Amino acid sequence: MVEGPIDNQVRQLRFLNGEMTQADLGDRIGVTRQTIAAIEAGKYSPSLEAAFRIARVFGKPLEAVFQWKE
Amino acid sequence: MPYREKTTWLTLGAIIVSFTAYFAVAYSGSIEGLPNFRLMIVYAAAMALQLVILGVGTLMIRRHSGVEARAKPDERDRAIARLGCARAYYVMMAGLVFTGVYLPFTNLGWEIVHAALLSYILSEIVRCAVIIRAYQRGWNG
Repeated sequence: MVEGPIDNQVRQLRFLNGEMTQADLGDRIGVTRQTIAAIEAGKYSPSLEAAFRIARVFGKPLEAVFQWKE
Repeated sequence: MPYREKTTWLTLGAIIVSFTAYFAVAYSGSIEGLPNFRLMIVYAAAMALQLVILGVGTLMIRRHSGVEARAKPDERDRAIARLGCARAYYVMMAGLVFTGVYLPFTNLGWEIVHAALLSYILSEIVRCAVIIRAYQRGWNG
């Protein structure tokens, strides 16, 4: 079984996209600002739908946003 | 602190305060059999106290939380709530089995009622504790 923590680039991608706030990103994918903060901190793994929505907001493929931490 | 963590703290506090008051008054004198109108009135007063704490507390938290308080629970809120209920279910089941299967052979009346109440209180405390812990330390399913 593949195991290990999942890393993400959400914080970097927000800043590369006009310093988008956590609240803005949350509004666009239908979650609260706290949930975005928890995702960025690795304290919550989003659902597949939310992960795809985040990737779509940044115009990136899913694996460019979320990766297994090596 | 997220709005739902605050309301969970409030729920936990209201349960502890109201039921501590109830059990303190209930066991301050001798407890007679059923029906016991003194205990029923004390229980009703404890529930009223719990409702007042929850009502006033929720209004205060809402006033300070602004937009966040009006937002519907998102997928993380729902996942954490499910986790809390799942853990509390086992506590409730253990309490109910003990109360309904074992206690009728050894105890009577209000002791059984209070054991059932205690299993409800413990399960609520576990539910709230799991939710608070999940918000504070994170939870990845």
